[in-house]
Amino acid sequence: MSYIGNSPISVAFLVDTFSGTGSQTAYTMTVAPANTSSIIVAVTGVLQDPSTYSVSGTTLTFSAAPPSGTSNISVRYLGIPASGVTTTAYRTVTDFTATAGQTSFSVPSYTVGYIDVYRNGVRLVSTDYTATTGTTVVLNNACTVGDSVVTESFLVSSVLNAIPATAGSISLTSATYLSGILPVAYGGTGVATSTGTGAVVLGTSPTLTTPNINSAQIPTVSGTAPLYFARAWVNFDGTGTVAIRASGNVSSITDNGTGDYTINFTTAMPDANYSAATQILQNAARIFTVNGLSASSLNIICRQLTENPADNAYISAAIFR
Amino acid sequence: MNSRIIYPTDDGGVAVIVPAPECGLTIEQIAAKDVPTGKPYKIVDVSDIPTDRTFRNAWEYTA
Repeated sequence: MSYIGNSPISVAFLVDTFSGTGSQTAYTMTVAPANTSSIIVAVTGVLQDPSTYSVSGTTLTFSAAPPSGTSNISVRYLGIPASGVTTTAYRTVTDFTATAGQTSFSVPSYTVGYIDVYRNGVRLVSTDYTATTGTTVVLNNACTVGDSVVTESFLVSSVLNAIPATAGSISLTSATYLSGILPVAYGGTGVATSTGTGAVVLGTSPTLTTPNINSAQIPTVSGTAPLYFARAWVNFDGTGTVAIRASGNVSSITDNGTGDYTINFTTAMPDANYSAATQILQNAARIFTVNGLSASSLNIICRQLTENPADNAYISAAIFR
Repeated sequence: MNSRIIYPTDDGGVAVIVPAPECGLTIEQIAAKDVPTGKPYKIVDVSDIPTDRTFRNAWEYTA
C-alpha cells in the first residue's frame, strides 16, 4: 500500500485477561478506557454488549458475574487515553495597522520559510517582502497610513514514536536511553518489563549486545541464586613441548619444572581471594596443590599420590571470583 | 606462537614461559608482564626447548 509520508507503524491492541469465578463482577484493568465503547469485552469467547458492563477508571464491572474459568475474560483496548498531552499553537496570526511609509514589521518569532504576509487582505508573494530574520518582515513597497498588514506564521513540529505513558511500564523521562534498546513489549523478544529503578526483566531469548551482566538475571536458570562466571581459564599440555590449547584471560603459563606451572592472567583478579577449579585427564592418579597465588597469577603443582611432582598432558583450570 | 621466554629461577633452574595464543599480546608484552621483575630473560624459538622432560628440573639457563 502506498502512503503519503512515512508508512504507518502498527502494534497489537493491548489486551487484559481475567479469570472468572462465577461470583466476581468487578475486575481491575491495566488502563482506564474512556468509556464502554473503547474496549471489546469477551467472556468465554463470546463478545459482550457494552450494555452488560460498565467502566469507572480502571474498574470493569459486569452486570452479571461471568462464569468460572481460567483467563476466560478478555478486554481489548481499542484506544488508550493519552496523557501528558500539551496543547501547542501551530498557527500564529498578527495584525498590524501600518503608518505612513512603514516597511518593517516586528512579528512573533517564526521559522524562516513558514510565514505568509497579507496586505489589505491580499496575500503577498515571497518576492514582495523579506522574511529572513525570524523576527521581522520587511515589505519591498512602503505602506500608506492605515494599511492592514497581517502575518501568519506556522510552527514546525514533528511527532516521533509517540507512546502513551499509561499503556505499559515505559517511562519517557529520558528517551535517549530508549533509542534502539527498548523497542519491544507485549509479546516481543526483548525487554518485556521493568521493575523498579535499574532492574530489568528480560523476555524470552533476548539478544544481549555488549551486555553488562554483573547483576543480570538469566531467565533460563531456575532458582534465584546468583550466577558467577569464570574470570580466567586455561587448558594446556604439560608434557613434551608444553603448549596452551585454549584459554581466556590467560597471557601465558610458566613451566617452572616438572609438574610445576604458573598460570599468568592477562588482566589481574581484584585480589588473591579467588577460587581455582583444577582438573587433569590422565589415568594415573594425580593431585593438585596450590604453591602460591596472587592477583596476577596462580602457581599449581601436579603431584603423584607419592607427592612427587609429575607432568600431565591435559591440565585445565578455571578461576572464579 | 612459536616463541618461548626463558629466565633463570632462584634455585638455579630455568623457567619457560609459554604464551597463550589467544591472549592478544605480543611475546614482548608477555615477557614484560610475566617475567619476574629484575630477572634476565631471552626469547627463543620453541624448537630450542627440549621435548624430553625426563630431567626437566636439571635444565639450566645459559646467558
